[in-house]
Amino acid sequence: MPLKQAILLGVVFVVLFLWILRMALGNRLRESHAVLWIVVALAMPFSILLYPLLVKVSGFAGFMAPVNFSFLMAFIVLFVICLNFSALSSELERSIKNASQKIALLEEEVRRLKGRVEEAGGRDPDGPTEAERP
Amino acid sequence: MSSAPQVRPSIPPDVFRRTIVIIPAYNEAGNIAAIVSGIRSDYPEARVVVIDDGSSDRTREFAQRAGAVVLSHPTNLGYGVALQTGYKYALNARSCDYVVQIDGDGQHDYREIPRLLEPIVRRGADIVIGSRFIDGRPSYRIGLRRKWGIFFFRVLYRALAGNKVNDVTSGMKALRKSVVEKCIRDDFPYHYPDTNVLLLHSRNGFRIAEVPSAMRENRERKSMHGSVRRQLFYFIWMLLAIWTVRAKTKGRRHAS
Repeated sequence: MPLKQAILLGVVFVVLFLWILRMALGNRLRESHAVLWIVVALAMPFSILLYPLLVKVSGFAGFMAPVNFSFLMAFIVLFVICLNFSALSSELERSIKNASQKIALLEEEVRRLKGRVEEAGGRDPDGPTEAERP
Repeated sequence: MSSAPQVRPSIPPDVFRRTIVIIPAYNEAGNIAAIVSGIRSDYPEARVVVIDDGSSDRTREFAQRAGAVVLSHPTNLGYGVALQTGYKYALNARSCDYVVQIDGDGQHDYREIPRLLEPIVRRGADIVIGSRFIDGRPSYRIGLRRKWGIFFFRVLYRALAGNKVNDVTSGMKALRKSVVEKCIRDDFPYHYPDTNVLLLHSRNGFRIAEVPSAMRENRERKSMHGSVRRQLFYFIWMLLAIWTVRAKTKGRRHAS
């Protein structure tokens, strides 16, 4: 790999790594997601350090240039990550739906119970009567 | 309201006492009060529940003032979710055996509620659909694309369910409590509960009946399937949803 490219990839990796770390420490990124993105970002230093291996593997897979192989791999990895996040977002949507429905039902329950308390003159209608109170 | 045939089958008042009418509504401040007041005055024994799906207008206020129980979603979650919230309320409510669902845009005529309940009460049906396509032509003009869509899903439904339903996309329905119990599950397809839900119910052995119903076009011409893009999305999505139902209920066909 030409030196200029290696330096560029190295700098990009360091910047990305620090950014991911900052987001994780600032609670803007869940730890599990931070680990995932660090692993993805690690592809850059690996492609610098193991460049001869990358050339061999891409040649074995029938690619004319290692960069084409790298792009395909990047596309596949990002596709899998997007699919995974879609599944996660579907799950979250279901949770939000259930929570919202619960809020709507409980709100109505509270309104009904408040009405009953007001009807009973401020007393809890299910609570003890005056005679039962100690 | 529309010029619906004023047929009111004799339904014992006790049935209305055990009926909850659920009305999903999103920004329907202009229609909701008239619908709720109409139901409350014609069928005072029935309970009316409006599910305000995160409206930004005064839907909630007008529905409450007209005498409905209002369940408010904190945000807009869609028609199917609103329906399911209504089902959940009905299942927890005291002495509710029947649920009637009508739209909050005034498209459905609430005066046909007895007609919807009659096959459940007298003929043992589990689900009754208010159909635009039996007993004459629909009372309003349906666009060509939508008409072909309904025809396609009607044929597909018939092939997969083994029984005939004319209006597979009608939102006006009456359901027995046993059906509602199935609709509160987490796997209920709440995005567009149309043909797929009917197929699911049919393949689960519920008896489906249809009664003619005069519907009218929404005054503001609002629709969930307005643009070509949405219609195309709906078509593909519904095919996938029907295929999912078919896979889940493999081998179950009921010619009810």
